Amino acid sequence: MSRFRINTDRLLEVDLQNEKVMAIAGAMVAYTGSIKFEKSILGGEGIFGALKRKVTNEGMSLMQTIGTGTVYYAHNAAEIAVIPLAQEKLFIESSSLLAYDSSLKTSTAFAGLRGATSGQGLFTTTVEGNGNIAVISRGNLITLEVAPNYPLFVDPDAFIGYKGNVQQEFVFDVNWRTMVGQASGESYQFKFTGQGVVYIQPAER
Amino acid sequence: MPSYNQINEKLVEVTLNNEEVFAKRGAMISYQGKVDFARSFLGSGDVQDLAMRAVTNEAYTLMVAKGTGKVYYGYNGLFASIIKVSNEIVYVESKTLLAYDSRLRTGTMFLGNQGGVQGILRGAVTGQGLFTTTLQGTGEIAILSDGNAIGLTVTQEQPVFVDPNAYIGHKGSLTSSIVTDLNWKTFVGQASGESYQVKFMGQGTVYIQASERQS
Repeated sequence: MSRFRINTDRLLEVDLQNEKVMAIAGAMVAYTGSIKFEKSILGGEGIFGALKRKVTNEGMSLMQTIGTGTVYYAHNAAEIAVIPLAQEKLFIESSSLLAYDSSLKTSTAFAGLRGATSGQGLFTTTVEGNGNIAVISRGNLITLEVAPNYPLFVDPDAFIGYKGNVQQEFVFDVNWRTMVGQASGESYQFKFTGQGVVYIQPAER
Repeated sequence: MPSYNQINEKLVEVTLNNEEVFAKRGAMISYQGKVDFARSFLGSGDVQDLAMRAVTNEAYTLMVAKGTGKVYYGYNGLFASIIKVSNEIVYVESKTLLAYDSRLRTGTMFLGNQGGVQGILRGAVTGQGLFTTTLQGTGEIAILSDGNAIGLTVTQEQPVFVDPNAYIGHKGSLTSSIVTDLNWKTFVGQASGESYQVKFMGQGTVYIQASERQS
């Protein structure tokens, strides 16, 4: 399997041995060895998957990197983190995705009504299987645990993704101050319950 | 000899002992001791170098800090790195040069002299102009980058391919050429976004930044 390494927070190094990795188009900054880059039109999701992406606005422009050598990826000097998946499903915003093993399967999922208010759309991207995924965040990625007795509340603008057996809800904290224009700036949040991990960034979109 | 010290990833300290250092104009953040700042026209080049710069668009406005003390340099929240130069030539874009001193001689290099037609092509394609700045000698320089600057080692056996928009400079004895990776998808508007790269061969180091210039 291809190996993902982080070099100084903002650069991703991937070693390939005649393997394939998917990445955002244009994210390569350097490489050594014999590597080919090709636009991936369907993103490995088939025609139906690609169509679904078009209509759900979770579109992403992907390229596939094939060959043997080391590839360096970076995106706008954003911080990069690697999340290994072992037969798990990760829910993530397509805009936070940098690269992933071709052994992983991606799809789109309905994320509930939360998107309408948070401006992140009604749909989210899922990544499933065995392999590595590299995500980008503004500031270092923070991992927060959710346990049955400890629900977690997250600002939608800082939310990046989650994995595990987690339920997501939208909660409002609206009181008379909000109505008279004296909002605290934190009037709605995501509430996560169950057992799993939530990823956030220390910046608000 | 001025000494360069990395304070954090965005700040560089230069210690002067009755010496002078050249830096990008406006990059001084603070200083201690007795240091005077003045606009510098020549840097460590000569009049001919200045004239070259004026016509080649590799012009930069420098200030010189002279005296005894410590000077702190940073610029626009960009990342700063120190590169050690030991009897070699460093090629950088003038825009990315943060600080250097008179131990190094500056010059302007026509890319065509360094790779012939390929060199010219490289400058034209990458939008980095046909000229680049060179610093020669033994000493240190401080450079700026968007995201960390990372040095990749090039050896005879292993050439390094670099996205032109992430390239910031190189040192050592390297030759460069453009490689293209065009296929039918490029022509139907489905380019991977990585259709051409700069290939570096020889012995040396190539510096890249963790970001791709939009221009």
